[in-house]
Amino acid sequence: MMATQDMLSDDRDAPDASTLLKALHNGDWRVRKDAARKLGDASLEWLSDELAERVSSEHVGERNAALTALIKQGAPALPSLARLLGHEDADVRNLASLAIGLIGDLGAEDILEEALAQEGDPNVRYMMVEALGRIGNPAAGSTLMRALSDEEYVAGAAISGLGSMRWVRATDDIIALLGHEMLGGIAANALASIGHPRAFLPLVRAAQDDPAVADIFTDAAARVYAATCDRYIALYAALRCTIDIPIGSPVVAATRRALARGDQPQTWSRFAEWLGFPLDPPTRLAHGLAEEPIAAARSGARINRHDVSSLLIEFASDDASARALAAEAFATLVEGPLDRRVLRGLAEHEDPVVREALARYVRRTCDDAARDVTAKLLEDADPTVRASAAGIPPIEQIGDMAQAMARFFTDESPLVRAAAARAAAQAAGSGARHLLAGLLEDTDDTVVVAALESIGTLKLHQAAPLAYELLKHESAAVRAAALHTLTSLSSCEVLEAASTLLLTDPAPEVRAAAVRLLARYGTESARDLVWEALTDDDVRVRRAALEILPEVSGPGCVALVARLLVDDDLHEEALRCILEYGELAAEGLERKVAKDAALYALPVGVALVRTPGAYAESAMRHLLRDERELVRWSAAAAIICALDATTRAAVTRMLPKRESDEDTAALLGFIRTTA
Amino acid sequence: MQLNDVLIVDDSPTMRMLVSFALGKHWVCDIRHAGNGIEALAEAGVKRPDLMMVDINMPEMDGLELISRVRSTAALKDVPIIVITSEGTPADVQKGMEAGATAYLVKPFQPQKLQAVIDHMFERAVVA
Repeated sequence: MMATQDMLSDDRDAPDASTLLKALHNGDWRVRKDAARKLGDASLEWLSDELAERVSSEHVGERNAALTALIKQGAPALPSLARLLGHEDADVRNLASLAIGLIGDLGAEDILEEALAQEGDPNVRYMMVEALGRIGNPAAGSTLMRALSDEEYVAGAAISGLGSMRWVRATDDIIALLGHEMLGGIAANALASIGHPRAFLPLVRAAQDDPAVADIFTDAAARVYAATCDRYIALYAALRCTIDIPIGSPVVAATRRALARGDQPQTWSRFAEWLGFPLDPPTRLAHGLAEEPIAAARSGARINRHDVSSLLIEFASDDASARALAAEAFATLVEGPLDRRVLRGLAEHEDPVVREALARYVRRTCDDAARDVTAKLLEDADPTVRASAAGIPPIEQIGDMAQAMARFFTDESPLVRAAAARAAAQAAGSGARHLLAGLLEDTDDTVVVAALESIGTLKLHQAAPLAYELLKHESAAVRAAALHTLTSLSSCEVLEAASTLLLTDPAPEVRAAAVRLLARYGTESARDLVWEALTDDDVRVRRAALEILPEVSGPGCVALVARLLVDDDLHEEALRCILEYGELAAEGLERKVAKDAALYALPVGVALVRTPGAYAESAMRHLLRDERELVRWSAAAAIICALDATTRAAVTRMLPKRESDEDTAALLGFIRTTA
Repeated sequence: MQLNDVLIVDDSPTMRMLVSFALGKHWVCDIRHAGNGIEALAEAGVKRPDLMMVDINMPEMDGLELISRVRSTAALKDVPIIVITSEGTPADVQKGMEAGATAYLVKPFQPQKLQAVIDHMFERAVVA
């Protein structure tokens, strides 16, 4: 197989690239966007430099288009962007930081941290800190902690980043900022993401202190309180039953508003029944978790407020199902830190279900004391325990990461090998990532799929040929995963070849994946393939083709999609797709360039019905008087679609029983189906 | 003119949250978010906002392009637009105003400054 760089040689693409680079300066943003997309697909070093030069352009459109292309290029653009971090113009440094963050390569934090230490402009520091948060590598956590004492904007970005990387150690520092005039909201959001129970009461207090923004704090408190349960219900129950907040307080009022908005499937009246539900003793919690989520949610407060002795008693039960339920409650509800002796005892519990629950508890809480038992869990005799423990972040702290990973990669259980492959994607800076390619030859399909996913996440370009070979693997899941991974690693030519290969795959899910991939490039051949897929036997493939059609095709695709309005499985999606094209179709009609105006009429009509105004009414009248019958019916269909259900049904009954041609028959069929 | 619905257009989630929080402290209104110009046009198409707050540097469709598209759309042409950007040279401000911005705020700004600019444009429906 040809490597990416060979397939897109400098010589062959130089003229095209030059034209595309010029197009970045074009006055029409759609032309600039299209050029940026195509340039972004080519990961050539000289092209990255050319694009980087244009980031300092006076022309804002060109500057942003170049930036878009660099972001699309991904990791190969990083050296060029890194050079821009030393540019004399702060705006250029700002944009380069933005791009590096959006690329999100796990290795880029070093570049940003080094530049951040030298940066004098607060706006650029803001963007650098935000980029570190976007990348999300825990290795940058300390840098973000330091940035909390920077200027307010920079501190805001640092709070956001610490939240998104769930940096538990920042909990207290962020709690201290809840009362800040400017940063309070962002601190609440970060605490919700981190999810440490210690943040719950400060968030409730903050909501009571400032009624104007009580909703923001209440929402965060709800997320902290019951990440695994129905959050508002759990919060309300906690407030009323456990913490005994008065019913008229801002935080309770905000929770009631959230419930009344219907954010949750449960209704207010049902909740009222639950409110009279007596509190269960902690030992019954585990049962409640399985049988009645609200009871567990409400009682979760008691687990958090008391020790876990009741659950430990349950762990000693002879009843395996009771142990399993208690283990589930432990893994999902208990807050740390716990006594080291308790943790050691659980790590040595004879039931692997309990040991696995302990591993999940450590993963969720990042309890420092629990790190002692991590090594033991990683050596556990049971593969489910080892697999769960392999995901404890940051695993590299337990010793030499590469050595540990190598051991997991050769574990006898495929469960562990797959978990280790997934964990490798999170272990930044580890040598273990280079061992991932070895797992592509694993005998177990789930392991191969996990390895492919991590290779894609880490953008290990050297593994692209191996992934390409796996397109011929006997397992459909592996073939689909290989294709998905290639999207992160390869150029559009490779992807087009891969997609074309898999469009005739026997498995519909693989064909659907191949179709979706075609959206990455808008070549004519890709468009033809997508059109062909619209007639595939399997609805999943047709749906995939319909979803991506707007990305590979111009307004002409409306005519194609209009035909799917009579597809039993896809008419709703087809209508949605057409609505998205309403604006383009309207433009076409205005310029009178649409050859098949009849097929444009329905989307145009629907768009006009949805856009009140004199122009819309006038245009609709025009369509209703059109000499072509199909256009008149299309306009009528658009109006009918906008009616309420009862009126629509009544109007539909009045439609003629006989139609003059096939297209009108199809259209009327669609109207009847909709009604 | 009352402020009931604000559309914040910024690729930075942090900035969107900062501005939302500052707005929420002093105004009772719905706040919607968009990450770039294209998303913003889609949001504004669903429901006309009373105010748009727009960043200039965004991937996909940038702020200046967005403003000129908004100004050329009949249903949106009168929507007040506040540009929020780190680029504060007179030439930058001029570019934004020529494109159709109503007001200009240079980052970093204090919430009080944002409040003053909005106070100047809108009647206060409910004072927190």
